[in-house]
Amino acid sequence: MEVIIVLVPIALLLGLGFLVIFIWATKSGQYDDLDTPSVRVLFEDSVNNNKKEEKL
Amino acid sequence: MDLERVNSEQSALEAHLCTHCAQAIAPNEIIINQNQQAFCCHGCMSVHTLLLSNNLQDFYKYQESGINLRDRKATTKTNEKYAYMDSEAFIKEFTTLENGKLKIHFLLEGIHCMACVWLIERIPHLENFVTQASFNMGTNLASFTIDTGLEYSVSKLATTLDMLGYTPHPYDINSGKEGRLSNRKDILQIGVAASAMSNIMIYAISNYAGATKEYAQVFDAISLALCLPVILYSARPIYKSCISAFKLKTTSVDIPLAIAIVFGFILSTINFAKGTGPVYFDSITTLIFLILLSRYFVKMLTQKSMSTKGISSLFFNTGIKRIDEKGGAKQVYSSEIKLGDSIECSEDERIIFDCTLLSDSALILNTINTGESTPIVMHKGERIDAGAICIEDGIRLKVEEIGMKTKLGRNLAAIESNSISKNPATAWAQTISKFFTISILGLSAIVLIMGFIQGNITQAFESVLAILIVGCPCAFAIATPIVIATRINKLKSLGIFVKNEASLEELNNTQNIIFDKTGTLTKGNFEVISFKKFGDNNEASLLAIAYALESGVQHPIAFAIKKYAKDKLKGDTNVLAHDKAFIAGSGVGAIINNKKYFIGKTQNDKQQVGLYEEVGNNKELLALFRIEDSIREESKSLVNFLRNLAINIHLSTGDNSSKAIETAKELGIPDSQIHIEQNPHQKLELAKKLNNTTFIGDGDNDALAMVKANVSIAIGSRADIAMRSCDIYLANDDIALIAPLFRVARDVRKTLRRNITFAITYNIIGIGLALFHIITPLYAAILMPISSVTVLLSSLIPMLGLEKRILNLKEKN
Repeated sequence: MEVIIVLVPIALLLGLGFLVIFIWATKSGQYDDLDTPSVRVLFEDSVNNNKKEEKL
Repeated sequence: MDLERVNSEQSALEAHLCTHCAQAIAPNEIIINQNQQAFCCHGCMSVHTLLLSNNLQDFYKYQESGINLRDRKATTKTNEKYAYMDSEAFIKEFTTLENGKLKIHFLLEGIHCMACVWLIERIPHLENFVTQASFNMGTNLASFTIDTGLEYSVSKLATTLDMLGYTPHPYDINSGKEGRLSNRKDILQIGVAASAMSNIMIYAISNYAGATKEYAQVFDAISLALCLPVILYSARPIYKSCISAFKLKTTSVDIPLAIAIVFGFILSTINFAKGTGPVYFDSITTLIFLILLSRYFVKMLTQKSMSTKGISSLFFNTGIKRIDEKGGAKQVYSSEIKLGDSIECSEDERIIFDCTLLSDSALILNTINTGESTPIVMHKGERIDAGAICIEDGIRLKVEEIGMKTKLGRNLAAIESNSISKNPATAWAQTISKFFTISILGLSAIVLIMGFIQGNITQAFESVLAILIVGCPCAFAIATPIVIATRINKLKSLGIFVKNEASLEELNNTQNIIFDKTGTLTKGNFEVISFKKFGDNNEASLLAIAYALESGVQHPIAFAIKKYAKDKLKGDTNVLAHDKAFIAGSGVGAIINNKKYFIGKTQNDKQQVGLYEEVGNNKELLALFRIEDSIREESKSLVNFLRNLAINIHLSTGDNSSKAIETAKELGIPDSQIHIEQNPHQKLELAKKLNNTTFIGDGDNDALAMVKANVSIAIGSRADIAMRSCDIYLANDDIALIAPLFRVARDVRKTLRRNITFAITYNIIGIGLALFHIITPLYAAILMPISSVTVLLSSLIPMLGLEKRILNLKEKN
């Protein structure tokens, strides 16, 4: 059971890591527009890709 | 005859569909380009040519069927219309400069489907100074990056957008920043709660499963640590609304919630420190997460982006033709106009200042201020209020009042700031939850005081916690938003957009319903029913004369006559009229082929329009047009439906027409409930006077009443202000949707009542047991989710077959 002393911090760190990624994603505006990207992905245009997400 | 030409025309006619907008074309309106493609209008053809010449034909691949591109208003003279956007004042106000790149945002009107998104994001193909374009469907906001190194022109960009059929409104990105940041904060709070909840579960379940002493202590410590950010950060909206409820001296579900959360957390921490007694870090976190999530769904589904915020800037930020000393007109940005300036307005332009007229006379449409839908003639020196629409070209005006000081500005400010208080709502669920909240708080206080008196404080605390957790109004806090959210989503699929979620419940209390006549009950488009000629003139020449007289006149009746004449003449309308004179409320006179003609109202019958030849002082009747604005088929069945619900139906119209009264009579509305010649303020008074009113309208002049009425429904998407100030709007111009809306409202009420009955029964039993210490907080914490699940099932099961019930079984109910 002592292994839990190693596992618990790993689990907590993993959880914290994902939370940090989530906060970063939100702050960089990835959740601002949930409708358009689902449509944009269907466009098959290779000539001019301006799909780069905009940071507002 | 040229056989090939005939063949190609034949094939185009057979298709009958416009190559660009895919709408059916009237045979006489067909336009064929050099590639033998058929178009319904020159606007469509030029957009098609533009797309093809820039290799953007993929647009048609993404176009969804059934989308009507034609209702996009292609405007003429667009080149000068947006010229003001190149002015320094405009650039300064609406653009931001980052590393030599200019950023500008436009709110676009007329987005239909993904093809539109595709096209807007390909703007860099059309205008090479635009380096990047992206569009947000949720907010209808397009942002463009302009390379200032190249020769650029914002007005050219706007003109291109307009030409493609998207009317651009400049948008100040900083004004929307607040809303966007608050949305991000909501997501962050939910994310933090979700993350904490899922991690806490690992340790909580280990403890429930019977972890041994030291491990249990460590696990509880971890749970406490994970719970902290949720208590301190995620739950903030709950505390906030609890505090504001205290400040406003009202009750809210959030009061017992906040108390249960804080109290539960403190007690759990004490128990943890003591090393004995139950801890509830997991329940608290889960509770907060579920509440935040269900509220977020409701917020997402209600159309918050269509709020009244910023409507005044939609009106006031535009280009104005200012007249300089030399008498020439130059387009400037509206903020550059000062008091006393002279301006020129052209046809179809909205006057955005209070002005006095400098021209000898002008024909204007003042619907927004007076509610009257027929144009009126103003004379030199008379005052014209802001908001009126000019329907003649080259009208000169002197600016007397600007922006928020104008009458329109004051009205818009009132709508925007919500300073008109809504009639008080009387939602049953709210009353119950108020009562419930008060009794739980009261009960807790009594138990606590009893504990003090008896000296058994620990047990009293435990009882209070059990009461708070069992009595925690989850049925209100979680199930209610879910009931509302699922119903709103269903309505959305029918084309009914709910902006104010409380209105769904409030709709059930409707006692009086006010219809705005123009356009809501009638089809709103006049039609020539019959044409009768007198004397021996030939029909075609008379129609051509009528067409020439009415050409350039922006009045529904004129449109009807023009359409009728054009259809009959197959587009061959080559007659020119001179010396046109408009006679207010009467008609138009002009000279054609050296003869004087007049077209307008006949003396005794308002539904007839006569065409006269004036010989000296005599008028000779040449022909009669019979005009009708037909009642919508659906109006009658709707009126019957509403009457069955015991709702009084009122009609309120800005016009003083026998037609309105006739319409009302045909629908069986009693005289006392017909209100004619109503200006926007009278409509407001009417909405205030009647109890539990629902206002159904479609015009800008209804906006004040809409803000006041308990529930307001806007029909169609023609009027900007109406759409922004209503609670619910019907995207399709279909009044038949009102009955399903009412049925959904009934379903919402029924479900909420059932939920509340469940919850209260359960709570009373639970609280009773808790009071007598039969159940401890641990059982309470287990029972609570069970009650939540019951209520959730009760909310979701009626969704099965809901659509069928509200649409098909119209007669039952």
